[in-house]
Amino acid sequence: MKYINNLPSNQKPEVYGLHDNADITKDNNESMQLLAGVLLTQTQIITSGNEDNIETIVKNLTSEILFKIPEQFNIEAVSEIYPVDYKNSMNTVLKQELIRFNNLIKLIKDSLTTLQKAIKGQIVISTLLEQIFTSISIGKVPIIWSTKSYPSLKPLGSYINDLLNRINFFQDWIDNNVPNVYWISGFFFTQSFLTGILQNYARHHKIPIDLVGFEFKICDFFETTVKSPHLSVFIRVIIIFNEQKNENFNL
Amino acid sequence: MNKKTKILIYKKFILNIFQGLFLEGARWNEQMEKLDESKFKVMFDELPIILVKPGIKANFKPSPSYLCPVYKTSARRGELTTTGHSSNFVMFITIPSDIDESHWIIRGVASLTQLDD
Repeated sequence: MKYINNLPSNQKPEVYGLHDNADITKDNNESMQLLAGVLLTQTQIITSGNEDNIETIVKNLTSEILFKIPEQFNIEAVSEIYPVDYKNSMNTVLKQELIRFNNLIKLIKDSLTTLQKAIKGQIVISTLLEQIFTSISIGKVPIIWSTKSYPSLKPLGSYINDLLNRINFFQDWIDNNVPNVYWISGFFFTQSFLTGILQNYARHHKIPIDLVGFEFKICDFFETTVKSPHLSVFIRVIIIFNEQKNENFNL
Repeated sequence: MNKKTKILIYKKFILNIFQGLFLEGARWNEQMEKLDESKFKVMFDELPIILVKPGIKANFKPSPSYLCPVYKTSARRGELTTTGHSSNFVMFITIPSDIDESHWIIRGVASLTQLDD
């Protein structure tokens, strides 16, 4: 009896061969579910002890977002610097990515400006605008944005920051040519970028693309300086991009 | 600089460097240069840079490794797009590991391009 009483009432995840962290994941998911459930029961969020009402908060937020998000990319200017080229599929990848980002930027800007007008009372609030309004007031990404966006589970604040980072990544690409280190998270449609790499390789060596695959090597080297166009310096590895050298992958 | 300093010379476009991946369910052990159990209370581990080189598939030398799926979000599911790709799954990357692949499959180890926060 005493022994049985000593047994823990909650099983640790190792019993099932899981890692300790599995418990944390489970608890996280449960709390998120609970909070999402509570949020559903609220038709309107009431702020207490604060003089600002929700309309002012949303209005400030929208103008802040509108201020932060840059103008759409000028695709025609970009196509002149990076024209469609048989030898370099990256130009096409860049252009397609920019088109997708432009669509998203346009959608966000348009919906926010209409929302601002609606709050001022200049136009009638539609169901769609109300949805955007509620999403922003609880810090979620409006559903209508997600239809044209890359998949993301981030809350509104981080979503906007992430979007800005992505836009910066591509702006940097436009200004300073192809980056030495690709921030793979930045792509809208990562698969097209990967295919672009394979296509470049296949066309360069005149071999069918379906025979080509990737080899990976993870390095614990962190980037220190990478601004020169042909040289990347890492703490423990120096990678020199050279047009004449062979392509052995003997790391 | 220590003993591991290497100088690599490559053609641009032949060697690609990726950055910005996270591991969920395991971590990258820098000393052993292998996949390892996650540390307690560390849910996501940022992978260092990955060198990616295209080549002819038939010439690859297989080494003991885990074929790790890469997703865009932690939901790990997506819809089929008109191009035939998933809207969430990106690709498989190989991560060196001594432990059997099935161990990591049960752990549900996957790589994510972005976190939820």
